[in-house]
Amino acid sequence: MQDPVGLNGEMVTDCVELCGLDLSIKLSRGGVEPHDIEAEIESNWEEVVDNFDNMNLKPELLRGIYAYGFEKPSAIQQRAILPVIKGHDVIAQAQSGTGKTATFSISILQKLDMDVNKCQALILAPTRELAQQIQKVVIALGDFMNVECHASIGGTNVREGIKKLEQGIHVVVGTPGRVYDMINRGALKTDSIKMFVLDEADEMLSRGFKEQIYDVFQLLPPSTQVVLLSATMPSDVLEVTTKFMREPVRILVKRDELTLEGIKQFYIAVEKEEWKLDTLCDLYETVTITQAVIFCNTRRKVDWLTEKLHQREFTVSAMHGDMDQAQRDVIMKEFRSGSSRVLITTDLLARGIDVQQVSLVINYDLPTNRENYIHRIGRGGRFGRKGVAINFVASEDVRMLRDIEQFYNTQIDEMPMNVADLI
Amino acid sequence: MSLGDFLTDPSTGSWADEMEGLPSAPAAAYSDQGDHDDRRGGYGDKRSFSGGRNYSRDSRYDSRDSPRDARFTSRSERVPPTLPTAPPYTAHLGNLPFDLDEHDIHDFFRGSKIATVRILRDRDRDDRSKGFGYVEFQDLQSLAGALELNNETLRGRPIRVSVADPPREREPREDRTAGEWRRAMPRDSPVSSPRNDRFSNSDRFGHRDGRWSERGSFRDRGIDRPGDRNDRFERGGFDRPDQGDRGNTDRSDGSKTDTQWRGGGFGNKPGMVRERRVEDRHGPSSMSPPPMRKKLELKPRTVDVSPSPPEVAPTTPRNRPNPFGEAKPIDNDEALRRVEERRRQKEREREDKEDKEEREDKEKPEALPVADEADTEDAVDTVDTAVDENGEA
Repeated sequence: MQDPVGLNGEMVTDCVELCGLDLSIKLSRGGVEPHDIEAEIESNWEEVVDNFDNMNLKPELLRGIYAYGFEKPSAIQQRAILPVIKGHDVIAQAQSGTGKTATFSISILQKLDMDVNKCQALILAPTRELAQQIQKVVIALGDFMNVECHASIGGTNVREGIKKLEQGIHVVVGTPGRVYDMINRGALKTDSIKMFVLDEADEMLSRGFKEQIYDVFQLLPPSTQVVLLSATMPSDVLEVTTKFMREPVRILVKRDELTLEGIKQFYIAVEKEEWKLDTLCDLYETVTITQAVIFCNTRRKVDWLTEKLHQREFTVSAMHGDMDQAQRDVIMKEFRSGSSRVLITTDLLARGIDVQQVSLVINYDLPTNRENYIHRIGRGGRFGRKGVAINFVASEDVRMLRDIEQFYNTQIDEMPMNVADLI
Repeated sequence: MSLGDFLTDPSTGSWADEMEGLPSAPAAAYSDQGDHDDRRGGYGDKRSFSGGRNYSRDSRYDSRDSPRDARFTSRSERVPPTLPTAPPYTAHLGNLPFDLDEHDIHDFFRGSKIATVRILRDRDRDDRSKGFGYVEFQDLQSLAGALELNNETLRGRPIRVSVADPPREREPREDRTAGEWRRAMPRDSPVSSPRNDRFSNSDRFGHRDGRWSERGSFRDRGIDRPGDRNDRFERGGFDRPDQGDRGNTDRSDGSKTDTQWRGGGFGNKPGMVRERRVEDRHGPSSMSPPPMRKKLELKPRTVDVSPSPPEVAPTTPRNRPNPFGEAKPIDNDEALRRVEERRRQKEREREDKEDKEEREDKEKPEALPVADEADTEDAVDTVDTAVDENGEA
């Protein structure tokens, strides 16, 4: 049988650390070239594997990866999969849409003991929609392993959830509240959990979630491996990690490398808040070239804008956290299938959500924090596709836009009139 | 126990106890210590009853008096309207005439140093005033002076002036997460595990002592509110301490103060007297804004509408590294659809097989009474379960 990493983990780690040392020597000898990605990733882990074949993965898993359509690993996958498999605590940062979900999913699947019909990995995500999406990816990649992965999220039937958990599952992905509830009810047993993954980790460790994560953490075995992932890792979050991570492997991206070349960023000077609506209507034809997400800062504004656009007979759909889960599911499904093309939403969908035909993101309101700017514009241009982000800027927003530009060392130009050609 | 006994028994208390968690008595009632103690005695007797209700009939709470005491005292402390010791010095105004505007408020408090005035309005009803609002004063004196105008009449209505609740986020709260997160011991260790010591207020977290399944009141802590996610976002972001690194430096509390980064606003926020510094040095049009909106004259699309993605991110003037490595874009949705289809197929095959087996099973023992469909299925289910159980045993 396969040897679970837990047993021989130490030996493996030692060996790898030697390799790592080797590599790092080579690297420092080689110097740093501008083209060299190593120069832009701050990491205390040097091993890079640029081929899934060379990662010593289970054949069924490898088959799942290729069946999914992956050919070569992305930068983060080349670097983060192995340290996670080897049992290290890992903090992995990578640009939006570069395959973080697959990174931890592959690692988890590799570490699962399929003979044990118990939850061995727990993934937490900030929104139900993201949790559902992750569940699908885990199932897809583990298709040939017959993995059982359950989404434990709020807004769903508790009894059914319990039933599902009791049937025996290998991986649980969920939102903090429901997962905590399920553990407390005894439906989700934690004794076999060996991996704890926080997707969108900076969000999960921010004020609104931190205590909930802490509470869940308290219910996990002390030896649980912890993996954090996000496109943004502000320093205060990194500080919190010292409280529960043990000598983590850190794979971090410099701030000025966070924006993707493939995503063109523009602004429109709308001058006045009241003019945003007409501006959006002028843009409607462009917006519908492919699929678009329009972000507002509040649920009420989402409702307001949706109503105004409906009055003018524009077809748009809307989604926010006040809607019940069944409604949210329907809207997501319609948008994913392409039957709805323009989705107005809040930061509920700022993170993680992957709809490939989205190539345009409009910030009707600029986000209230810099991190979410990166996450929002990352909804378009997934995995190397082209994307355009358009920021509506009233005169009082100018300063904030400049601040974002400076913070990420990126360029946000005035929108050219031929923008349609860029989408 | 008869009903009469029950009602007069001081150790049981009454239905009114259920109200104890809600704000009730006027603040002044508690200002006098003696008075306070009297009342407390009354509650004290009833406490065991309501305590028992709130905390289920669980004998674990034999020392339930102490946490309840703590809660009670903390409640009474919260009640008196103490003046804030630090800014913001904000007064809450109630019972305002609906036609009142911010200028009237300024007039009303003439002589006080006012920082901002805000009347809450209902956007769904043509920005009609909701009849209450807030005035932030520049200093404590002005606030104290304003309180004396409580019940003064303004346009025929007695205005209520009181100290506004301090911003919730400001209340210093113990940070449970301050220490080491990892538990020192496995969870199934004896009840008196060391981590209990870390949580002195075990009335809130009594469930941490290793008995998980019989609890259910988790929701009270608000951890899984439906739609929980958005709440926070809309309160205007994260408000992290190291603001230099985190963006928004102008959020004073967690409520909807999307002021400086005010994308969230609806434009002309009524009552927002806050000065907005518009830095138009960089402004796309730093000249005075045109009185009319300029229509966007967009050029029609000239490129082909084929959704062919670029091979990899285009090479760039800045020689940026490519975070995709040699990875190519894949069709996620398509991949997921394929997997789902495959799963469904497998499921169908499994069901077909089971059906077939069931049918074969049924056909063999002719003696099995076949009434109607549903009954048969039930019967088969029962048989299956029985077999399973036997197999396991």
